[in-house]
Amino acid sequence: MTELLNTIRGAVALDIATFVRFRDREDAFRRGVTILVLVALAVGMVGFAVDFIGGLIKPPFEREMAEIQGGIEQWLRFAPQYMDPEVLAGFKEYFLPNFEAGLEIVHKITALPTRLPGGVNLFFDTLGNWVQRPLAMLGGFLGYGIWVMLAAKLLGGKGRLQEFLGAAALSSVPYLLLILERLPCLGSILGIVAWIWGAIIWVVATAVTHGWAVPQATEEGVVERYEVNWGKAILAVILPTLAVAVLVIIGAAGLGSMIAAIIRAAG
Amino acid sequence: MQQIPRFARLMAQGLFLRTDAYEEMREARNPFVEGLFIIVIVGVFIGLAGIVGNTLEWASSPDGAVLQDILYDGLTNMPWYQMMEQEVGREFTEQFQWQWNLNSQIARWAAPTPLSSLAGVVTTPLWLIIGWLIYGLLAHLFARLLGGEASLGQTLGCTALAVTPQVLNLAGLLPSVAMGGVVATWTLICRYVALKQAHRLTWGRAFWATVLPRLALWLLLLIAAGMGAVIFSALVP
Repeated sequence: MTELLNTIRGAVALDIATFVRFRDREDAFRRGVTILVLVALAVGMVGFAVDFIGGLIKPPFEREMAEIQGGIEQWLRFAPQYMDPEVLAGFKEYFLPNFEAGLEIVHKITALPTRLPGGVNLFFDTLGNWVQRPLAMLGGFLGYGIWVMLAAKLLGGKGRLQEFLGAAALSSVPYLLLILERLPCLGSILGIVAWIWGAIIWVVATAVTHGWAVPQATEEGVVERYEVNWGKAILAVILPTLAVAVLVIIGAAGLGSMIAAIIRAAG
Repeated sequence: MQQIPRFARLMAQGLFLRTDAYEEMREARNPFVEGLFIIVIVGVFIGLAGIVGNTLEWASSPDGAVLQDILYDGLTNMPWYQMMEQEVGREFTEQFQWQWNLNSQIARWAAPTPLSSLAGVVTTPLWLIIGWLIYGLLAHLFARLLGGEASLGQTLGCTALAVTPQVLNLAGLLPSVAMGGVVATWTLICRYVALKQAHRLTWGRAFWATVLPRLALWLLLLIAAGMGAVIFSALVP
């Protein structure tokens, strides 16, 4: 437990020696995945408790309806500023009555009895959302990790997949900040902070595992500091995002020109 | 029976990309049989979890027939329906009815029941075995073309360990959990480690040996879909 806490502390402090020690562990990947799952469960625990208790106190449907209707009313107050009056009138005349009728159907369906009592259903639903979080985080992490690993290898990196993914999983630690994500306003700011902090950890983990952090030792063999080639590590981490952005731009341009050609052909 | 703890250890180590597990599988007396056994264990567990998951989903869902009645009444009383009925008339109501009947039948067929999920105990391992054999054969072919050293049995034994991320499907016990891409991505990573270890390949060759079978399968599917479309268009006047 102490070792785990030390690793977490070293990771958030971007201590390169911590990453080196972690990389050299035989079970780096298992440890990394464990930390990621624990972080995701810790973050989701607050949401689980809030949603479950909130659901028991107030029926979820009524709460959701109140939120939706509040959102529509707020939107309708500001819509005349940027929406054509005719379009807005059409929206009010056609869309809103259908939308309200749709909500009525949803209300009737949610009021239907089930074989399990409502409280048990709510428990399974919120528990499912809680369990979902580490799975989603893990999927995103592994998916991005493969591409960063590939980019690093193409840039001459020498790391092993297990070590790299293990060390990079430490990038999940700053997401512990999201324990407070339910706080209004603060939640989104914490999300941005965690994302940037996590991205920096990705870079450190990539540098350390791919041989771009060279130890500088004293004559007695004690490692004093690490000389890091940050350029390659940063490039390896952002290359997959850049590649996706370029592909999206090319795809959007292609789709746009295709639609334009179809419209022209149609007269 | 004595082998079960060993298989459990191999599966756990394989899941966490421990190369010694893949090496042990490579050097096993009969890696194919051991791999097959591991896949059956994983498949049966997922199938059993599916029964519990489906039963929970069935128990937490309202009666399907009542739900369909509410939906039908609600939809046909919505303003858009009334408007279409007045403007388009009989043709619209007939089209709607046809679509409704078709969707109702599909919904009844796909609705989870404890009984229907019993088949999963047999079909899940079966599908896992079929997927493993097809991928394993193609991966072996590509790995050998890329200079790999393993026998077919060794390839299949090691790639069987790469099936272990399927255990994450046990989270499907909870009705509202969707797995997303985590199982497929983790499986891909395990397959890379499996092929690299089994065939003593460099990272680049192991990468291609891992992804080429997938690409080949997609290509085959595309060709099959294209041929299907051509045949269909030729048959339908």
